[in-house]
Amino acid sequence: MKKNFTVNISGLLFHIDEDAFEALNHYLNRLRTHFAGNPGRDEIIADIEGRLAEMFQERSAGNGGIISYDIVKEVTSLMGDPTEFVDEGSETDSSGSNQPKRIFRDAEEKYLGGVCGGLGAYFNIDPLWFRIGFVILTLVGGSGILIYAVLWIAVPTARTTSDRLRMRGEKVNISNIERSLKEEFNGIRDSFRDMNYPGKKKSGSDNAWNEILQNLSNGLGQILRFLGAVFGAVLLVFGMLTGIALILLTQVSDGQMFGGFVPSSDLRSFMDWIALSGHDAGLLAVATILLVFTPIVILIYSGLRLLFGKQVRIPSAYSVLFSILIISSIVMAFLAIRITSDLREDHAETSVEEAIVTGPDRKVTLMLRDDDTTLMRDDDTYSYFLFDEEARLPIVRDGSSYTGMAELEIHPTRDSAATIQVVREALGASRKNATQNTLQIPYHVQCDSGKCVIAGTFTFNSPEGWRNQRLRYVVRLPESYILEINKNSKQILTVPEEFKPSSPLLLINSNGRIRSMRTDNPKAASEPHGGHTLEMM
Amino acid sequence: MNTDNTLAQMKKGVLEMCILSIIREKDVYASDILAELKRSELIVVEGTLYPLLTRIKNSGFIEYYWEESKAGPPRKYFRITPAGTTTLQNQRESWEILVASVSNIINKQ
Repeated sequence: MKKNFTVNISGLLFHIDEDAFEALNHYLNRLRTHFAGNPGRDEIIADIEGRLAEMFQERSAGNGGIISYDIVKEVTSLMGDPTEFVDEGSETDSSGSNQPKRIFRDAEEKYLGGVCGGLGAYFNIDPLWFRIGFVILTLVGGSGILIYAVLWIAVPTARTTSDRLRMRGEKVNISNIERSLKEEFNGIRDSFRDMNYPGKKKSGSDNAWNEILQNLSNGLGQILRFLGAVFGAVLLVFGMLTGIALILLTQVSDGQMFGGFVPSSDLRSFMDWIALSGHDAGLLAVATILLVFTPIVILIYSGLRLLFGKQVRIPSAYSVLFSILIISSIVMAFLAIRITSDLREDHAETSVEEAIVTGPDRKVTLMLRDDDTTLMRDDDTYSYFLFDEEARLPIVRDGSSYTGMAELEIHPTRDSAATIQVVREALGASRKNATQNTLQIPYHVQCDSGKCVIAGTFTFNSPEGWRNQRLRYVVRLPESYILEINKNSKQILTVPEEFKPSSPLLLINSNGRIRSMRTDNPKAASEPHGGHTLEMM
Repeated sequence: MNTDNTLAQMKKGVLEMCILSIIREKDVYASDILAELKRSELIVVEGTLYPLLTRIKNSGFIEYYWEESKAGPPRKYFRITPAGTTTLQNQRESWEILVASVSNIINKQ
């Protein structure tokens, strides 16, 4: 059983099978497409329909008056495919070329209604940008859905080949149409979907409707250009503000100003880290700056483009900008990997130990050299002041000269003698290199009858940059020894601030614990006071 | 350029003249012209004729009138205009010169 339609072809009534009807309609659509640019299009189609009617009449007589699919195939192959027609040459070429570009929905490039695909084809941009734009507009206020819906309703689908060509702004001439038709033929079999069904009124009202749609979409084109300009202005302002803000933030030397956790402190400490590494610092700084500012330039340029259109077009600006972005990312990643691998590589430590000879009072006093105290209080004279990666100790850099703070550790020991050990640590590309780096670190220990003067800081010159050098003084005291640390040496004691003893006098207990002693009553040493118990190992 | 295309281009050049000649003999409708052209193997598919007829008509070389047909739809009968006759005359002269020249060249070898 086949569904059957009645059609009027050139004034004659025919019964036609559904599949035959679809094939015939497809053929006529292809003819219309082919003659889209021909001023005599309607007449030619009418003539061809007349001839078709004649042939149908001859052939359907022997088929119960019904046009079958086979008849349509036979007749249309006699009439020939539009691509087989002898080329009408320059006449159609010239008449087809002056049609304005027009917005269509692109049914072949669609997720929803093909709106973005059509916009992309019209503006010759990747539709992805429009999709992103709509998503952003939807998320920010929801206007995206509304605009999309309006466009979906108002913009017609590109049905025919000439529509598709006009959508892309290509000339509607025979060769372009043929090329597209061939593409269409190879890939698309579902053209039947977009059929006009019988009962729908023919050309007259159809044309009027198309005209309305065309006017609408031309108007929409202008609205879109306007919206594009508005969006461009937003991009421009946003890009400029971001740029200015970033420039200002890099000028802020103290990240604490914004609570310590704004990008300025991050960016700045990052730049400091680069500077500290001393490793291709200039190149890395340039790469960083490019990486941060190129996107802003892209924003501003895009804004200008959208706002002023082709007037501000700089040839291959986008490719240059994106190349800069990619190259600076690569440089940055490369350098970062190299620097971190340099820092990460080998670790070495060298240590010397000497005994502390005390008097009968078993008292050890630790003091810092005088010149260290000024250094630690006057940070402003140095160009960089920051913390090492564990955020524990300040490191000061002045040119290729680095100054770090020493660390002081106090441990109880079961040995009978008090000792002070100097441990110097550093990283390096190799173990040998790391050991060499440790030897750069100057230290100072001078003990005289229980009084030890140590260097609270260490300064060295390293063109290679900071290699995580550390200087640790490890003081080991047997039971019942008393340790006096003064205000300065207390500063480098490596315990958290809240555990720092309130008293400069410390006593090593019998159970291996360090206790604070009251300064006003040294006799009360065995009675802990103030609850400051330091558990050091 | 392949031979098919060359042939197509040659045929294309003379089609207008042939159509004008057929119409000059007597008033005809499209199917008569098609029959004649197909017999002479000048066209392969019928669709080629219609845009040509429309263009020649729009150039003022032919005109048409409707005639009822007992068998089918009304037929569009074409007849030649005085301008068409002149054009045909010019084209025939050009054609004869062309044929003579071409023959002259290709027969020498």
